[in-house]
Amino acid sequence: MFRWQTALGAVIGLAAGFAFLAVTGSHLNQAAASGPILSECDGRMRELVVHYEPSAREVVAAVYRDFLGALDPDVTVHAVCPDRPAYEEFVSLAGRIRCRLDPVITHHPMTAWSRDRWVALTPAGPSGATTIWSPRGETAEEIWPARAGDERVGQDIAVALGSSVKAVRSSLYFDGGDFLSDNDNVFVAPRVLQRNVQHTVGGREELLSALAGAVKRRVILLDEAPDHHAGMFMASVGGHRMLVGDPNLGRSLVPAQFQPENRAGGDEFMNLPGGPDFTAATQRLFDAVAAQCAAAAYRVVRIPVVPAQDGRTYLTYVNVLQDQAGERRIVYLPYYRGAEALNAAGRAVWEGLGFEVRPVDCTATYRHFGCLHCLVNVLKRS
Amino acid sequence: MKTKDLLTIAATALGTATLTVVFLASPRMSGDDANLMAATIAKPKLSANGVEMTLCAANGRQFKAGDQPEFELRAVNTLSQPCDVTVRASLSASALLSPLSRAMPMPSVLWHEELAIALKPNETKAFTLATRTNLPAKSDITVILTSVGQPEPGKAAGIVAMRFSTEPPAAAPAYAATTAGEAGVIPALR
Repeated sequence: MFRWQTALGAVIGLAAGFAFLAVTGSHLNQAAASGPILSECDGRMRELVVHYEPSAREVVAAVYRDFLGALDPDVTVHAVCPDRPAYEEFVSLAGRIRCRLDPVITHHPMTAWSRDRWVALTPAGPSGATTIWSPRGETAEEIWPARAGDERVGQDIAVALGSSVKAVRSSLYFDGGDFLSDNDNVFVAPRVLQRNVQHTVGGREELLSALAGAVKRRVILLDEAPDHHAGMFMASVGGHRMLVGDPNLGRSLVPAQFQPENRAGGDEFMNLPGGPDFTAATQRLFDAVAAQCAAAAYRVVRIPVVPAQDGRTYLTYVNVLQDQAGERRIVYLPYYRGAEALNAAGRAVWEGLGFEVRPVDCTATYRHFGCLHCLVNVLKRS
Repeated sequence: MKTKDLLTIAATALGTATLTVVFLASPRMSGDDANLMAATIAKPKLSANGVEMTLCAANGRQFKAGDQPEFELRAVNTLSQPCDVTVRASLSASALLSPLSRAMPMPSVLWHEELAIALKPNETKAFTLATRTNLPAKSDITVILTSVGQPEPGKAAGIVAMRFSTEPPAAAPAYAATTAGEAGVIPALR
């Protein structure tokens, strides 16, 4: 028989449940609006997200040591790890650092690449939450268990960080690295069009509308670009200035014995698969990006890049993280041991733009199709 | 109020609160589109010159490694006048080189064929495309349909007509159990 004690208990339980959800940030406020996409070049970095997966130790160790070691004490780095021992290994690998570390333990497989998993959308208001905007799915997740696990990371972070962050899954397919944003525009790599047209949207205009609605900035869909993530070939540096990679500039800095006309089947420059790709067709793709940026009223500055014949491996100097401390602009810039002339030229371009350069050793990373920017995602800036 | 009453109230309150949190707080991931799953287009369609083209596996087959796939291309003239269109179908494969990679390698084209299609007003034709190439194992397979010639304004020149893999999902490795300090992190739902 239904008794008053049961009724009273149910009422108290409902009240307690809703109170708990209100305090911790429930799904009830997840539908709330978000603000624009976070700029990659404006504002002070406050909270970053990296992944650490022990099997990738050799790939990421030097990057994390240099990068985390150069971060200021007011930065928090959320380290997404599959388990607690992995986090402890990450802490030991980081060495002496001044930034704060915070674990997010997932208990599922994952890769080391944080950037592509989600995009940060700023809070809609002063007291709102940052939105982690994750894609509908990951490429090749059926044949890549770690990539299938990556699909869950946005949600893992939101659960771990509580009410200051909410996770939203998009109806669109993308990689976070397909977007390049500043305070005015979001440049989108052409591959996003191919992944979505006639799968999630009817056509190009519908895709542009959906993207603009989500990122709340003007969307510039690149018609022509290298088949890679945007951060491999371009970087917005603020003030409507865009750095775009230039293979011709890279070619002039590659030693003569590694130039395509002098190759005799020996070692390749920096072990680039198939050697450097200085073909006219590839140069045209980089130039097309520069032209599209210029058409969008950006002042374009070219910077050396050496793409490999495999179309995926780049020695690039735009795959960076940018920070702003008052008037001071800082860049965490990749360098590659064995490519000193290229490194110096890349650094000179950034210094010429007024940046303080903090170098990060990416020698063990670039052969895996990504670099510093691909390993680190930015959750919050001030 | 007796102790028994208090126990009943407490037990009911605890159960109700737990159910409320479980039902309302999980999953923490919401969709930004109310019709998230409905947004998938089941059969991608390439439109060119008034002709709509779709592709599917011949005889509804599921392909696996070693198969030589055959596809059925269906072309529908949506106009009340004759139409010509040339379409290129290509089959590409990409296999994971290293699980440490950021991305899949560039896909390599295993097969392609160009087809000139002439249709009477409102006519529908089906064509069988035999690839005569073996599908590699552990690969991400993509079939792209491209309209040969200038794309029409606002329309894509090509679409990914089919995408599948030749490897069943592998079992995920187990990770250490949750410890008290990590109790706030719950497994994600999908």
